[in-house]
Amino acid sequence: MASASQASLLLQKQLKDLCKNPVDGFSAGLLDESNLFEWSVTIIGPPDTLYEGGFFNAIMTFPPDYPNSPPTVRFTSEIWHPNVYQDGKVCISILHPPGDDPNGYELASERWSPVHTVESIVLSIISMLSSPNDESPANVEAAKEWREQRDNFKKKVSRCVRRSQEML
Amino acid sequence: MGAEGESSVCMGGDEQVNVNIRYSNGSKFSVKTSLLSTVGEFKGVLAQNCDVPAEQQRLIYKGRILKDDQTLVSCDGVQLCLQADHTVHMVRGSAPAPTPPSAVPASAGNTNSVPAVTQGGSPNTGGAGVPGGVASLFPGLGSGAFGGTGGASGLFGAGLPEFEQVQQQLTQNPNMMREIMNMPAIQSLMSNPEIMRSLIMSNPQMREIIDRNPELAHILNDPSILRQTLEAARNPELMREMMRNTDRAMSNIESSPEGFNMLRRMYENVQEPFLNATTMGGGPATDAGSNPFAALLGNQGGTQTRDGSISSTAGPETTTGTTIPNSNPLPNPWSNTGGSQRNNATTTSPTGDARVPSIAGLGGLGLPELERMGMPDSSAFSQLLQNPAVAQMMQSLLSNPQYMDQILGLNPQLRSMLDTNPQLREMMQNPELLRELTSPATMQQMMALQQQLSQLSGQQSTLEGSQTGQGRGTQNNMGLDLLMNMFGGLGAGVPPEEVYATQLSQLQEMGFFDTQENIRALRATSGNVHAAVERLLGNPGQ
Repeated sequence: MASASQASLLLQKQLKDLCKNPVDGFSAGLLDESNLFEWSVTIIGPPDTLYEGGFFNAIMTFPPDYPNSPPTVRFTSEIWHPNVYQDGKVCISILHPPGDDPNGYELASERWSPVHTVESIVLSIISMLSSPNDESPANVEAAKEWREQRDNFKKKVSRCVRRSQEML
Repeated sequence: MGAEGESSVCMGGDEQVNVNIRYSNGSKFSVKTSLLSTVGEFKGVLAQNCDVPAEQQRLIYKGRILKDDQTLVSCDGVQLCLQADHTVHMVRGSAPAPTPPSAVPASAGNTNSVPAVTQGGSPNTGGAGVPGGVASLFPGLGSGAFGGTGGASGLFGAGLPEFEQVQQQLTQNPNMMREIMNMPAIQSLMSNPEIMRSLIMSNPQMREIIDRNPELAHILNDPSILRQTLEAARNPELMREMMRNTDRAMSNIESSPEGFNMLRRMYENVQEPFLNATTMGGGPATDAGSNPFAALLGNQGGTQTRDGSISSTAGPETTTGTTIPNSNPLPNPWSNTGGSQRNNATTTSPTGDARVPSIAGLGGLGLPELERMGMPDSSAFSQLLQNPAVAQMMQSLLSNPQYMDQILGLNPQLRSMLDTNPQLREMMQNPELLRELTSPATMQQMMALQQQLSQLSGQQSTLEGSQTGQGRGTQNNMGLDLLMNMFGGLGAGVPPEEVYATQLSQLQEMGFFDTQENIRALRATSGNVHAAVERLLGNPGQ
């Protein structure tokens, strides 16, 4: 219980900070004002990337034992990216549970650590958008296209960007 | 005026509230609007304040894109309501159908396209300004005070380029500030009220102010207040809270009859002389370095000149160049220009890295000043160092980690320093850093510092206890005390529970409950909470 209240305190504080002093590149708030553990985040497609101009919505779900465990982030907007599963789930190393990677891809230091905040997570996602990592892809097809058929990849991404604008 | 944007209750009514806009090119401005207007109308208002036509504006708030037909209070049902002083993101979207191609590069290349509408007017209620404020306040104590009487002989005189850089980074990067405040060395320094006091008192102007205002003297004499303040400086959250409380109290006072006058008197008696003391040189100063405080305030970025800040504090309302009527609490006199600086924090070095510049800073603190003190050895040394042959030799010696190790091992002082501070050892073994260190300039500084240190220890015995002594004696003594304290803090003596009290409680809060384990981790990381967490999570070091 103590840890649950710890989590909500932390989240509350971050929410307040982000409302007052938002960070460039994204906007975050609660999905439902009564639930601190589900956040709605809009990521602004970073300039000078394929995703520029898009607005990508995502839902960030925090476990009750945050910050000891990482939240999950799932895009609700359609997005074509090597590190995003087809269902929208974001796959980046800092969102993986702490400890050593069973597959040996990631250093423990690249994985979750309790110092991460909504801000640092979203900024990591933004940086993921600007530089996909095709080493351990979540969306194999997208990774393959990214590597071998960049034109097709671009086309698909710009379709996502267009769609995300249409929903405005 | 609904400036207390704290409440989570929606503000109804048709009153005008302040809403901050953050444009994707980094610029910010504020507008007044009624929360009952629709998003479409709101965009119209925004269009008058920037060059983005309403139909190209995309507004995002709390993770949602605002739709034109919603009102600001009920953007997504009743739950999502825009609150006073909150910030909305604005992005330039593509224009509607007719001109698709021209819109494509829009958001990329138009960094200059937004007119300078009240930019930089740090519109946030204390929030944004404060981390910077903390930073600028404490380098003030730190640097200014190190500088002794602000004369050229200050042990850690300000005004050296390196130091200023460090300082600037500090003021711009609250994280780094926190990092530094958490370093055991600084902590032990700060936790000694006597030293803090002598630091402050060593500035004659400050002393004068204090003499004239016994209340202030009282504050300085009360270690618990000082400790509290320093504690606050370490914890930005606490600081912000304190600032907010103060602001609120001030505005309450202000609204009571006679309260305003009282505030004005206070300003005249305390704040103005204080600012003068901190900004003007002690004598007919020619170089900016003569008063360490001056360099500090000089750093605050273009918009807030000294005069500006004084005149603006005069009427207790104000800030830097805002054109909005102020609905904010009183300005924070310590605040630098606030949010606008956040972006150019050049080294957003998180965690570990922050330590490096700070250490380098420690090393770099004293060079020209020290040399000016005319210590013969020091100048001989620097001559030696400037000899290219020697420099080369040094470089090759030092770029070899093993040699370095040996050298370090030979010098008992250094070795004991390393033993008590594993982080330092790690640093010493990092070839990257060594290369940095071996740059002739740095070398020279380190040498000079070391030289001074040993000389100071020599002098200390004769000067011991003569705090009230005159001239350089006092300063040297004080400086030595400082250093001794700083380095003393690295060693044993104080039980680790005490040394790392704050970090321990932070770790506890994060859910690490094994105190012994925590202490071990903190020890190994010399008090760096981030690194300690990493370590506790099972990957030592990095």
